[in-house]
Amino acid sequence: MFKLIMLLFVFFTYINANSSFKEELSYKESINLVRSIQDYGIKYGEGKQNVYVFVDPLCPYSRKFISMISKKPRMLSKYKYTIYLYEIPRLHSENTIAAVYNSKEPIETLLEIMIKNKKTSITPTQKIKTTLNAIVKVAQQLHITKRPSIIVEK
Amino acid sequence: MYYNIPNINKHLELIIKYRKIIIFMFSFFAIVSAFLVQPKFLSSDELFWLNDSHEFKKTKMQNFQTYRQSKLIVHVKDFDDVALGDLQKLHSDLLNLEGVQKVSSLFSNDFICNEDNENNSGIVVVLNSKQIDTLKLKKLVKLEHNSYSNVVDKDFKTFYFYINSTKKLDLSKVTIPGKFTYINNISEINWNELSVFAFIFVSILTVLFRILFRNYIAALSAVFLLTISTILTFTAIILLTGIHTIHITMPFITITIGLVEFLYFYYRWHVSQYKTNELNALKKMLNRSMSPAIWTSILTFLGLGSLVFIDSDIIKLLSLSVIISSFMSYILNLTLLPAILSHFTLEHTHVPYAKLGYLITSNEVHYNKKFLFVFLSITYLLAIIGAFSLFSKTHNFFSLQVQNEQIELKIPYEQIDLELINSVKKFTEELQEKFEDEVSEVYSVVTLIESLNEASSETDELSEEAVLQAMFYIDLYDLDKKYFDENALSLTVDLFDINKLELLEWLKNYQNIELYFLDHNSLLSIAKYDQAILLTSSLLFALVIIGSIIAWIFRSYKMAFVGFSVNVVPIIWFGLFVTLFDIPLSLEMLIAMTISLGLASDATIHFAYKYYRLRYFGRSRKHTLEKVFFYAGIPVFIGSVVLISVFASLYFSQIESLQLIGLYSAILISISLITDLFILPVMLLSVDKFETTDKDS
Repeated sequence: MFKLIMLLFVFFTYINANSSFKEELSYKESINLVRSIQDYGIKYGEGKQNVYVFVDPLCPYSRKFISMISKKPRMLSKYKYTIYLYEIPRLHSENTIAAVYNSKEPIETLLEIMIKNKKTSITPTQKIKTTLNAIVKVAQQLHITKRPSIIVEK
Repeated sequence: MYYNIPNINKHLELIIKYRKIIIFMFSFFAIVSAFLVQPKFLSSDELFWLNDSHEFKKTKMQNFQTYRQSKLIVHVKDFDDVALGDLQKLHSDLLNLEGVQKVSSLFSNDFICNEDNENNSGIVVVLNSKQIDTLKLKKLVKLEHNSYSNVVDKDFKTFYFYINSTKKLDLSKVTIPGKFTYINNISEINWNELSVFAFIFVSILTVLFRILFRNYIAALSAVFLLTISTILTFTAIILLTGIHTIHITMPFITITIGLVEFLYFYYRWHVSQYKTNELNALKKMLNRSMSPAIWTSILTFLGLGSLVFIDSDIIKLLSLSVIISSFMSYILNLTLLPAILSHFTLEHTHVPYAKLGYLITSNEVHYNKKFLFVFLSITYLLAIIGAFSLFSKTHNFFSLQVQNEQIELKIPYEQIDLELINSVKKFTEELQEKFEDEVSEVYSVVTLIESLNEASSETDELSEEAVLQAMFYIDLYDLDKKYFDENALSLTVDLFDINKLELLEWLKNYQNIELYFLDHNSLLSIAKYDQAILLTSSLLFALVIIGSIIAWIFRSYKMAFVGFSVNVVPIIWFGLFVTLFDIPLSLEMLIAMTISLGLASDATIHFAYKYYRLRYFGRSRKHTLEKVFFYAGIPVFIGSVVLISVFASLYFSQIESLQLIGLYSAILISISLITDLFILPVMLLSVDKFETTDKDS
């Protein structure tokens, strides 16, 4: 009886582990997913090649990345960035993200926050929450854990 | 035929009648030729080789820039912050030198890592060595020393800088810390140094001829004839072929052949002075030497003539310089030499050293057939082993062992995508599998993409997404210029300790991707290797032809064996010498072999001609051999001693090519001389078809 219980335990643990195993998306599927939320992205650059970037405005690495591309004219003329603001929970940047989306010129606000270290925040509206939820959903499907996360379209 | 005496009375009368005009006309022609048809002695011989290079033409067709590659090795006492600063500055200074396209060193390396040690960051960071302090740099290099073994030694005291440039570099204004060695494989011709060697040659010739002939006429007429012969030979070559570039070593071929031919004629005149009639010496000089001399020219022409049709400037020039200088010497010895010598009579014509010939004769005439058989058997056995090694293990024979070098390649592309990356990756893996530890690292955009992917993702596997992301980072960190341009990828192979020729052949024959060589060192090695194989095969063919013609001249098939053997013996024993000392076969060696072949075939004809002639007229074997030594052995001995001294002095040249030619020729001529004095006479005795007289026994 004990053996049977142990066997069942092992079996269910295995099933559970498998079901929680990240399902790898193909490159095409990933691109389709990020495209599906394009309207929520902040556009930057005038190049032909699309780059989708997940950043947290308060993350130092994301800031370094945005600072680097903004300083290189070639990076802005060759690539067109769609920036998704995706919070790192421990940084509590939801209100800063909301301030960006709420501004008239989101890219300018974002650059001021990320490069010039401007401090601004608001409580997110329902509309902003919907936007953020959509981004979170896609990011989770893409298993994005790091910021910045970059997906380059062919 | 050898028993005919040519009638040269009318010819001699004409020469004496117009002797001043003849001297003036030859001098005039030579001066005019020297001014009007000037060969281009290139400041470096690299373009000379590259012009014949198929790989060089292939690279140029793609409009790829080719480079000279030099190596600077810097030794510092301690690798501290000061040394780091100095070495970084040196790297920048080298890059700023005129003509420098690329410098590979520890300070050109990019260290790729993730910004965050705990891997929370998605951004990949590319750090240049210049941005890292001494301690961190040491740590990074020690982690993966194999990847950096070509740029820094384990003890951090020796640093290597590989410089790709389009021009010769002047490092005099660059501050180099510590002790350094600069290795530039391209030898530049130093005209001052060459003038010194010309002076040494004339001095040796004058002193030796003064001692041996007790006059200055011999040396002066030799220098005069050799100068005119060399000028006219190269004028003829340029007019015939249209090739204006002359290899620095080629005048040595014409001088060598000219000198030996001159000595056969001059010596005969010198020793024929004792007769009361002044013309007698000139008559003897001409009618005894002209027949064998023309046969040596014909032999050279037929033996090496086929090489002229090979589509290679170097081989054409080599063979033509031997053929034309042989004919030119013949013409000058028949016209200019008697015109000069007719002005002089000699008082001291006794040659005491001729007794040496009698001594050798008395020993050789009772030669032991068994010894000859054993010697020839060993020689031919070595020849068979050598031929087998040459054609079955070509790379081992033509080895070029190098340490800490680089090969620069280009791979054309239409689009940098996963397919291209995978094909380059496959090539890299195959290369590393084939050559294992001999190749320390292969750098290309693939290495970079792999490093970027490793730093940004959890998987080593390259995907289309990973390539695109890596390309994005390459743009972000401006790394593209280092690894590719608009239409081709750059690839650098770091060599640790390897037979470079084997690797170059493998790369040349690699089928799956198109490869183009950029560095002149590799292009030169391939070109020299290709020419060396061609010339070796051609020399072997020439030996067979020479043997056959000698058989025809003396109407004896046994003489084919003698002719072939005497010519092949120096090459085979020299081959054994270089094999024992593990010296790789090179083109310099083959030029030395061409010189040796020219001399050996001349000696064979002159010795055999005199031997057959004297035996035909009923002289005993012993008497014949004495005469052969007196009339042919001594000029060969004198000529060889002069040439050995001159070639040996070339060994002290700063130009590597000349050093090697000097060393190899000196050794080969020495073996040739021993063969002429000790093997050839014995072989002539062994194939003697004439009846034995009482005196022989």
